[in-house]
Amino acid sequence: MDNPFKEILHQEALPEKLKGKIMNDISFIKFAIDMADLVAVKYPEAIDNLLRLKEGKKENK
Amino acid sequence: MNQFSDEELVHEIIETKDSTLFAVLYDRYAPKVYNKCLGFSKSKVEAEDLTHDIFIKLYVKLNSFKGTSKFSTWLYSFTYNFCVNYVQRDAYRNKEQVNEDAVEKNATEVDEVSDEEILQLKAEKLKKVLSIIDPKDKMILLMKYQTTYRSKKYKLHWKLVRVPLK
Repeated sequence: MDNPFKEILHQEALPEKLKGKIMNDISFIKFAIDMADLVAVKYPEAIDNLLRLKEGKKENK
Repeated sequence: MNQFSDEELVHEIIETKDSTLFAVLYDRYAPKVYNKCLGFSKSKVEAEDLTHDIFIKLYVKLNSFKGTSKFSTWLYSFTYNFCVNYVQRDAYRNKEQVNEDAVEKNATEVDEVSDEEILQLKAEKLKKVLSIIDPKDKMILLMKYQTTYRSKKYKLHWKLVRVPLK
């Protein structure tokens, strides 16, 4: 018996322009995540390390 | 990159967040996702938007793939859930009020439908019926008759619509 569910399956070609749009958005998301990581994690870590370094030098003197 | 299995590729993307690797994953699955979206949308433009949103969400949520099933199965379920949510949200936006009493009444009156009866439906009629019924019921019917998809969730849904599960 023919399965009508298989007959209504779509077999359309995917528009090419869609990939560019998606990859642009993905790049933007990646950029946003990297920026957030830089400002919220990396910078505070660097400042913290710098201050510790200075405190260490003072103690040595 | 192309010789990587899906699971290896996903693991690499989670580790590196590399968009070039994600493009490979896109090339593998975009046509399937797009055609699946066409089944749930009213136009090609809407299906394109759905596909776009699915891949954006996929990139963000990729780390929730734990490898307990094949990636294709997981993506399939991901796509279905996204589409069903979209259709339901759309229906809500259009303020289509569902009479809960009527739904309950219908639910109690549903008789078991055999596979043969369902397969005798003509494609055009089937399309019309699928556009009318609840998106969740549509999802379950498509999962059973259009693919060989099997999962606990699907079986759970199956009990709710009282259609014999083979």
